[in-house]
Parts: sequence; structure tokens; C-alpha cells
Amino acid sequence: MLAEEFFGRQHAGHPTLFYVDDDVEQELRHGYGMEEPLAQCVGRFLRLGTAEPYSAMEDYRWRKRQRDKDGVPAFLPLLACSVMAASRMVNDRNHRATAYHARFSELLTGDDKQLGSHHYEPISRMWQVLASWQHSQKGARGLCTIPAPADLPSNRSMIGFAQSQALLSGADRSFMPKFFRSLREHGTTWPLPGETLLAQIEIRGMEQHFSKGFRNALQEAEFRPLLAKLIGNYAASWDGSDELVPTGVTRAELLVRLDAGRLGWVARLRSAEQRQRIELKGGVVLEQLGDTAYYEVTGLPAPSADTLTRGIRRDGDNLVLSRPSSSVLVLARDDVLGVWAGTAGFRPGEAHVVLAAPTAQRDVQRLLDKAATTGRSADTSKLAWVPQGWSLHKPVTFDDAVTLRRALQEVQGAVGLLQPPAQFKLRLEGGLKLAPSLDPHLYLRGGEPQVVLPDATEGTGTLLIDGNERPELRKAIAAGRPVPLAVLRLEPGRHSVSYAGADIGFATADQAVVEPKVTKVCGFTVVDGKASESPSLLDGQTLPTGITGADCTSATTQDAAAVMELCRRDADEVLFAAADGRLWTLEAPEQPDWWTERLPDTAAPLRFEAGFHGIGGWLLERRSGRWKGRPVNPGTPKPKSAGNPRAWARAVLTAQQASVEPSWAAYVQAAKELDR
Amino acid sequence: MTGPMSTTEFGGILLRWLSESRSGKASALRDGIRGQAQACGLELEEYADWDWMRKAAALGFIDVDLRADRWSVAPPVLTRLPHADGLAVLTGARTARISTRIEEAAREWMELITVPHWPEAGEAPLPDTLLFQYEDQRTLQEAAKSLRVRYVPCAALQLTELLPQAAPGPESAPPGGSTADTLEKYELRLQRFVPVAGDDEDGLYRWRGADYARLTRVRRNGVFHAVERETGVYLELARHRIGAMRWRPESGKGRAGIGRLFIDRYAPLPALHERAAVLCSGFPPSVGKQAQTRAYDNVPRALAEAIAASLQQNLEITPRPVAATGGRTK
Repeated sequence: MLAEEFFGRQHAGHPTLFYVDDDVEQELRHGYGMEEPLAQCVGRFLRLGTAEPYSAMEDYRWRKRQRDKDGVPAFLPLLACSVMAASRMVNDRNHRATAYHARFSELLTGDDKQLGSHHYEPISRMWQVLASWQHSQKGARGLCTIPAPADLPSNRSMIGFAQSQALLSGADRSFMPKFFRSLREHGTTWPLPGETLLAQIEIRGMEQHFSKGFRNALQEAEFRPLLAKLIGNYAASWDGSDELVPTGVTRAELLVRLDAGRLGWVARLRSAEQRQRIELKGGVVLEQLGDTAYYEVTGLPAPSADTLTRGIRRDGDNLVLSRPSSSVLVLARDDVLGVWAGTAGFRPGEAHVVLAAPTAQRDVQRLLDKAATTGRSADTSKLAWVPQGWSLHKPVTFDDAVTLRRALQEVQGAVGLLQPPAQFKLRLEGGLKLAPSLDPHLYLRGGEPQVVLPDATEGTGTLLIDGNERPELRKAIAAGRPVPLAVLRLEPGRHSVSYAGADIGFATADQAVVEPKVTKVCGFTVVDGKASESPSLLDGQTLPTGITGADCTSATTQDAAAVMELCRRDADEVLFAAADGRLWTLEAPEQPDWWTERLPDTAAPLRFEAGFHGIGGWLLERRSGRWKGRPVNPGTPKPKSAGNPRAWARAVLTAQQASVEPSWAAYVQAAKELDR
Repeated sequence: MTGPMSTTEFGGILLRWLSESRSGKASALRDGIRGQAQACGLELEEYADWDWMRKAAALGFIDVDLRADRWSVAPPVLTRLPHADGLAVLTGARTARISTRIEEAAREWMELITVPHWPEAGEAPLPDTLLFQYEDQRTLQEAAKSLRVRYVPCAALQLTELLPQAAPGPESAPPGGSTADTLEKYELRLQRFVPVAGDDEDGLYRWRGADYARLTRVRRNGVFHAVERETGVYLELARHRIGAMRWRPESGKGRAGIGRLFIDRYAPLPALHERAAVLCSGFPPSVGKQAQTRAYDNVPRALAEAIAASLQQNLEITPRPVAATGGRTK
């Protein structure tokens, strides 16, 4: 229920807040017809008096995960309680506003001393697991608003996760669109950075429209950045309508794609139910592209300077299609579509196309100057698809994630929200897996994976590979890049990666342990002696006669009439005595031109090639006065039929020691008869 | 050539990976190429992963069916290069086992020439070219047997006999539907596809199908026909009588029948034609000055003419280069 409510697919592409206070809890409970209060229910699963009071819930989560790897981590009820406790943090008769653990303990156990701060570590870990899961869903279950550990005030490094979710109450969020609209009336660029939005709230004296929790956080220097980020996220995903998240309605994201020399729209709908065709108000139609989550959009004016800077929203039956207004458009390669498509944030190491409205141009330029690699062009002129007045930057790559994050923070403005996704846990990425279905942690030696380190305050951990710190990796670690293990040239076998208390293991091998079955072979089919234009999957019928790689033997019959022989270049004389009486002296050609270029370290060839088409005879080589011969389809010698029989006979007799084969003897015999 | 891992290893490791995995998704292969390049600190150009896949297929290491998004590794093959004075190339799968056998043979009896690939800037390095210097064709056959690889007498010449004729394929539906705004037409003057609003003239078009797969179609007398992109470009060139192929004989005495085949960059050869040309030397084509052509080495004239004829091209024969000797000096 909590998963559906807070992390359901209606949140796709929009910030989610796991906000639960006493009112929300009650409302949900009534809505779902439940009697027992959440905290009481969770309290029954605590192992009070032990060192690990939450272990039963952790075990439960693991069991659930075994069955459903992609599902929401199954400890939401406990985290909901941790937010409820945070929402109660106001001065009251019993506690100071800053007292968290006493409230948490009281909520779950009825006693404010049972659960202390020393018990809380697993809960902060659960928050990070939740964040990591949400990021791994790539926005399909809402955009994560749980702060990265590095963003939390040091004295709230554990409870800060829960507190961050209690910053904006439901009433605060429903007020947000009104506030945004009042700002947009003044025609400012959009989205505005969070800090500017907070300043506007203060300048306009709008604090009284917000909850007490919000007002408190606004005053607190430590929480203000979190609040700014949160409200900034909401502004960035606001599509101009009156409500932030439509309830009970699926949301389709409207993205920009660049393909076939034009900008166009494409919708992404990440719900379990995939209708092929969806009609929306205003004649807008979505049609599913193959079996992907993407839909072709018809009935909307094409992306332009005007449509991009205004939000778009179209309602339909239980579905809204929406796109927030934005003065910066970032495109990255979309793996599914194979074209450039809009992305929510920069991905370090990848190439992007950045388009900026005139109002955002300065911010974008500053960001690129600070953090992007060089070698991009900012040509705004000739390309017809660039929205009028907008600037284009391509390709934009950020190699250094640390510099990128810093630059985004410094520049803020229109680009401040393009942060790359935060990393919450140590994990392996990429690598050449040998048998992904059998053993997901087995890699080919030389194709070791890269290590993605969790975002953390600098210098909190040391990356150890098999227990050792490796200086070769320092540069990548310092740049916040995925750390490539391939450079270490590890021996085949088991290896371990440890960082800040977390461990991951993997193995490498030189070859597949079990030879994989080839289920699908690609190749060219051959019909009537002609190959297909392009390769396709070969089946039992086409495989035996098909072409795979250089193997075309089953498709061709070897030309029996053509024979190739190699002759020695160091021979003093090479002759070919044909069965019909013709005689050739074979001259060694020069060595192939391309040898010097392609094979500079290889000695000149020792042999040369001689081809014989539809002709038979004996090939004779003289070296240091000795003759050697080889038959080439020799047949029966009939030297009188062509050529110069006398010269032929002389040559054969001179070389009569060339072979002891009967066929040669027949040639010698024929020569003797001619010579008589 | 940066990073502690040499580019030679890069191509070898990828080929080992493909050989040990045997088959998979083409998109996963491209991910592997990009990921490995990142790990090795290689900066690749935008389509370097596609380019690697295409060249590995031309060299006979793998076969790729892009429509099905699948690749499979090709059987290991030993085949001679035409008119190469006793050189054969070892291509196809290179598993750990096969590599070990080759290394052992090279230590004991085989004249093996290992030629590392020299990538252009931004290109992903290919596996080493392995050439075997043999004494006569019988030893070649025996060598294949003892290496336990398939013996193919001369893949380049044999493939040439199988080359399909460039022709419009079966009739197909015209562009339309919701993806009509992805329509592009091949513009010969610009040598690329450009967006167009309608399909009212004959020519080469492409657009996205209902599953967003790219469709390339040639329009003839108002009727659309399915075609591969490469073939489609050649059909357009033929319609306008434009040549994109030249062949230049080698300069050496006795080598006038062998030469270099130049293909304009914008008109890449169809897959099997490319393979036939590449297997003449065992090397991917080299990039010409200003990168406007691709040059294939050691291509017999008859083979070049067969390629040209099957693509409705007139092979232009350029004069032999003057031998380097005897230059004027002051």
C-alpha cells in the first residue's frame, strides 16, 4: 500500500516525497480500511532489548527480495514511522524540537527510551537502499528526493534522511503550483533554481502559506539547501497545471527526441499496463512503438522555442501526458530508440547535445567552460532543427563527475537541476561477463568491471582491491568516475572490492567454464548460388548451406579447373611444361606493394603464386643445378598438339631428374620420342 | 594508445569475449565495446562501436543480424589470401583454446605473422590480424586440420561468386502513419539523407516503422521496394550514373592484375561485398587522405570488377603509380 501510494508509477518522472505524518497515516488507514495504527503494527516486529531491534524486518526484506528483485524494498512501514517521528519534531510539552530518537522510540514502543540513536544505523542504511532502488528504476517510480549522505548536515547524518522527507507537507505541495504560477506571471525563465524560489517566498512574505515544518527548515541554515533542492525539483517537473501529482492517474512523460534531422516528441509511459493506442484531449494520440515503453505522439505542435519554454499537459482517460517547461534541453543517446532523446540530468562520461534558450545561454556556457571536456562546437546557425534563437552545444561530455557536480552547484541558474543521479551504494558496472545467466559475477580476464563508488564526503573511505590500495586507480577515484579494474591486470580467480565498510566479490577467468549453447546463428543464406543481401538468423534448413564468417565452403563448389601453386623466388629457373606441349618460363613478380606498408617487419616473401586455369602439366624448378618437379593436373602428355614441341622436349629432358613419379616418367618418355 | 592497456589487447579481449560467449544481442556487444573503451581510457567517436561491429563482421570474426539485434561468432577458419605469395589468414572464433593451439603451433612449426591493428583517432582497435605463411596448399590444409579450424581454399574468391546483384527488393508499403514525420530522402549531392516532407519523386528514402525500427526503401516508378541502405545508395548512384569505385593496379612487375580498390566513403559496400574485399588481405580498409575513401589492399582486378558489376558500377581503372625509382634530382 505504501509502495503503491508513494512509489507507484503515477510518479514517473516527478519528484516523490515519502511524507507521512499523523494525518496522512490516518487518512491512508481509513482509505484502505485498516484498523491498527501503522506504528503499533510495526512495533510488533521489533526485537526490543536486543542489539539489533530491526533484524526481523531486515530478514523479511531479504526474503522478499529473493522473490522480486525489482520490487520496492520491503521496509517502507518502518521508514514511514521514521518520517512520522520527524514530522512530530516541534516543541511540545515533553520534548524539544530537536529531539528525534525519543519521539521515534515513543511512536514505536510507547516508551521514549527503548530505541536510542545507537540503534538507528540500520534505518539510515535502509533509507540509502531505498534511494538506490529508486535511482535504479531510472525515474519510473518517481524522482528520488532522498539526499545523498554528503548533502546531509554532519550532526544529522542518520536522521537526516527521514527529516528530508518531512520537509514539505501535503498542503505545502498543493500550494506549490499556485506559487509557481505567480512567479511565471512575471515572465521569468523557468525553472528557477531552488534557492531563488526560497528567496522569492521570503521576499513576497509567502511563508504563512506553508506548514510549520517548512518554515522551521527555511530558518535553519543546515536544512535550507535540502529544502531548496526539493522545491527546485518540483519547479523543474511542474508542467504548468494546478496539481503536482495527479492522484489515481498514470503519467506519461513527454520527451524531445532528435532524429531524421528534426526535433520531435516521444512519450514514455512506464506503467505495467501498455495500451497500444491512447487518445488524449485536443486530438493528441499516442501510439506504442513496438513493445517498448515509448509512444509516437501525433497532434502536438513540434518542439520549438515556444513549445519548449512552456509546459505541456494533455489529459486523457486516466492518463496525463505532461512536460515541464524548460529553457535548457539536454539530449543523450537513448538505448531503446537508438536516437538522441531528452534526459533529466547529465550522465558523466557520455556525450550529450545541449540546447539552450537565449535566457539560459550564459549559464550553460559557464557550466561548459567549467566542467565539460573540450572539442565541442556551438554552431547555432545552419541547422534547421535548432529552435529559433537557441544555442546548440555538441558533443558535451563531462569526464569528471566531481567537477561537474561542483560546477552545477556554482552555476545554479537554469542548469542547476541537471545533476547526475546520486550514487548510494558500492556497485560494479560494465565489464565483459562470461556467462551472465549462470554467474552474474564472472568476468573475462581483461574485461573486469568498473567500480561505482557511493557519493560521500571526500576522503571518507579507501578503495581496496583484494585488500590493497592501488595507486593506479587514484586518478579515476579523484575524478568521481567509475573506477576501471581492467587496468590492474588481475590474475584469474576470485577478487574483492571494499570501500567504506561495504564489500563486493567477483571472479575472473580466461575462458567460459561451460561452453555456452548457441541458440541463434547469424549468417547469409544462399539460394541458387547467390547469397542474401544481409545476414539473418539461420535455421536448421538454411544453416548447412549458409555463409558464416569466412566459411562459405558449403555454398560453393571449389573450381576444380583452377589450381594455385607456390614457386620459390630463389629458384634459378621455373618452367611449366603443359601436357599439350606448350612451355612457359615463369618470372617471379615483384613482391606485393602492400607488404611494405602492412607487414613492415616481415621478410620479403620466399615464394610467388602461379595460377593454372584449365591447363595441366608439370611445374619444374631449378635450384643450384638440381631440378625438382610438381604435377599440376598432369594428365597424359600429348606434346605434339600445340606450342613448340622441340623446345618442350628439350626442357623436359633437361629436367628428367625432377621427379620419380610415373606421370613424370610418361612426360620424359614423350619427350624422348619427340627428340628421336 | 593511452592507458596502461595496449590497443592490441583491446581488440583481442573483445574477440575472446565474443568467442567464449558464442552469441548474444548486438546492442550488448556495442555496450561491451564502449564499456571496455572507457575502462581502457580510449576516447571513441560517436559511432565507433557500430564501426567495430561492422569491421569485425567484414573480417569474418562475427555475423550480425541487426534486425534481430543478434550477433554470433563465426567458425574459426584458415583461408588463403589471393595472389599473396603464400599468405593465409586465420579468422573467426578465437577462444582461449584456439588461441592456445595457435600459440603452440607458432612455437613449433607454424610461420605466424601477427599484425596489430592501427586504429584511427577515435576508432576502437580491432583484433590482431593473424597471417600464416605457408609453403604449398597441401600444408595449408594440414595446418587447418591440426589447428582444428575449418579450411576454406580462398574465401575472397569464393565469396565473390556468391555476391548478390544489387536490385530493389520486394514491394513494400509507402511511408505513412504516425511516424510520417521521420521521412528522409537520400540526397546524392550532399551524399546523405535529408529530411523531406513528402515522397513524390523516385529515389532512396528512409523512415521509422511502427516499432521505430529504421526502414530503408527505394521508390521506383512510384512503387516502394525494400532495400538495404548500402545497396540502396548504389542503386541511386547507378540511376544517376555516378561512379564510387576505382581500382589501381600495383606498380610492381608481374603484379598488374592485383591492386587497390578505392570506395568512396559515402557509399560503403554491402556486408558480403565488404567481406570479400577485406578477405583479400585480411586487413580492414585503410582510410584515404581527407578520409574520403576506403582502400582495400590486394584486390585482384577480376574480383574488383565482380564487386562493381554486382553493384551496377563501372569500375574506373586508374593508372599504375610510377615506380619510385628514377625520380628527378637537381
